[in-house]
Amino acid sequence: MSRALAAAIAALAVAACSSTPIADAPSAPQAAIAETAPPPPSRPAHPDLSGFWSLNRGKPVRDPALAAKLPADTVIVDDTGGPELPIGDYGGLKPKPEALAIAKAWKPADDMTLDKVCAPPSIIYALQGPFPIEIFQGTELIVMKLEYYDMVRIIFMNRAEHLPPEVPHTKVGDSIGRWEGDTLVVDTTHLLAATVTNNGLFHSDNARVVERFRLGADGKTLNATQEFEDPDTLENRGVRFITWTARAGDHVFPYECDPRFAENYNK
Amino acid sequence: MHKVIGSLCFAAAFLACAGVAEAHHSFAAFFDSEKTRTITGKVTKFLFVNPHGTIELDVKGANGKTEAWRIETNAPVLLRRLGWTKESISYGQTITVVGWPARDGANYLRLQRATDEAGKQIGRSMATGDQQ
Repeated sequence: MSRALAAAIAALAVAACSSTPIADAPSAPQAAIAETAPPPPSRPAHPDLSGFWSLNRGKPVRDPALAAKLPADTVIVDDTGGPELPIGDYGGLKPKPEALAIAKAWKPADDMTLDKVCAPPSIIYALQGPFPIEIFQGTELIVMKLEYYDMVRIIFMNRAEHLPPEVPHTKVGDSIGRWEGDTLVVDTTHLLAATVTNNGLFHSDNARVVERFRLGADGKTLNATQEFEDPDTLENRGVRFITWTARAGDHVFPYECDPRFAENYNK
Repeated sequence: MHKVIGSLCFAAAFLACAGVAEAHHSFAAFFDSEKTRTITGKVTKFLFVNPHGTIELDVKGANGKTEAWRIETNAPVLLRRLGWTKESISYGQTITVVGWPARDGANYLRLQRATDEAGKQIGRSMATGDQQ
């Protein structure tokens, strides 16, 4: 009797520790394991955009699926990444008279002061810059860290309406997101006035941004469009195409802007 | 009439907003990307901070007089990925810098690449068009 019990215990131990199925193991313990095991992995409902994304050098990919979503009157602003538009060139954007007057009066040196040099742009200029981003994707929220000026965006996936108008505006604004098939669509309002092209053209506090993010076929490229419109400063609507490449194991660095740089322009 | 007043109010309000909103450094406004200049000198200061680093050099001119030059670098947060650290350049070290000259003719360059006295490149080069 005791020998039989010892043999049964040994068989159970082997069955529990073995990584391969044992054909003649008792059925009761297997059933118990089956009851507590997690369900088999299912295909994620949406693509996972999580990770570190380094901005591509050169021209961004113009993903036809994203381009097809652009309204007909949208002009492509072709300054993504390092290059910047010269003074007086707004990349096809048509400033309204007041905004154009401000742009023409703009002097680059005016910005190089201790109190202004560390003020970040809004996401309209910041996202296309040659700085990486890091995405943390959840179901309720998606967090996007920009290396540029340590900006952090929170995209609310659990909200269909924007915040009330009286809520303070910021450089990252109020972003609400939704999935359209394999594309993350982000709608942003509540932005603070800031530069559009870094050469004197500003958007107002009433700008609105619609972004679409979609993985490339290899899963290692992230393509986006960032449309923006501003009834106060622009006659037409603009868009930038942006492309990043995944880099596993990397993370955004702290930016920690130091205004002493402005001293170079005041000597 | 109301429309005119409304428009003027908007313009005034927007000008006030714009004054505090604009804060970013524009490469194209300050530097000539069509030209390059090479200088060699002794480092008197190296500030490795965002939004841009600064190298100051004492450079001996053709007339034998020493001129003070300043070199603006890309954002150090980007330079770190190109092998730069705040120890990449030392005070008193002699370096050679290739850069884009300031449009206003000042002794001011935007860094393209730098080499030490032995001719070894410091970090890796900025790619063309990397102007942040």
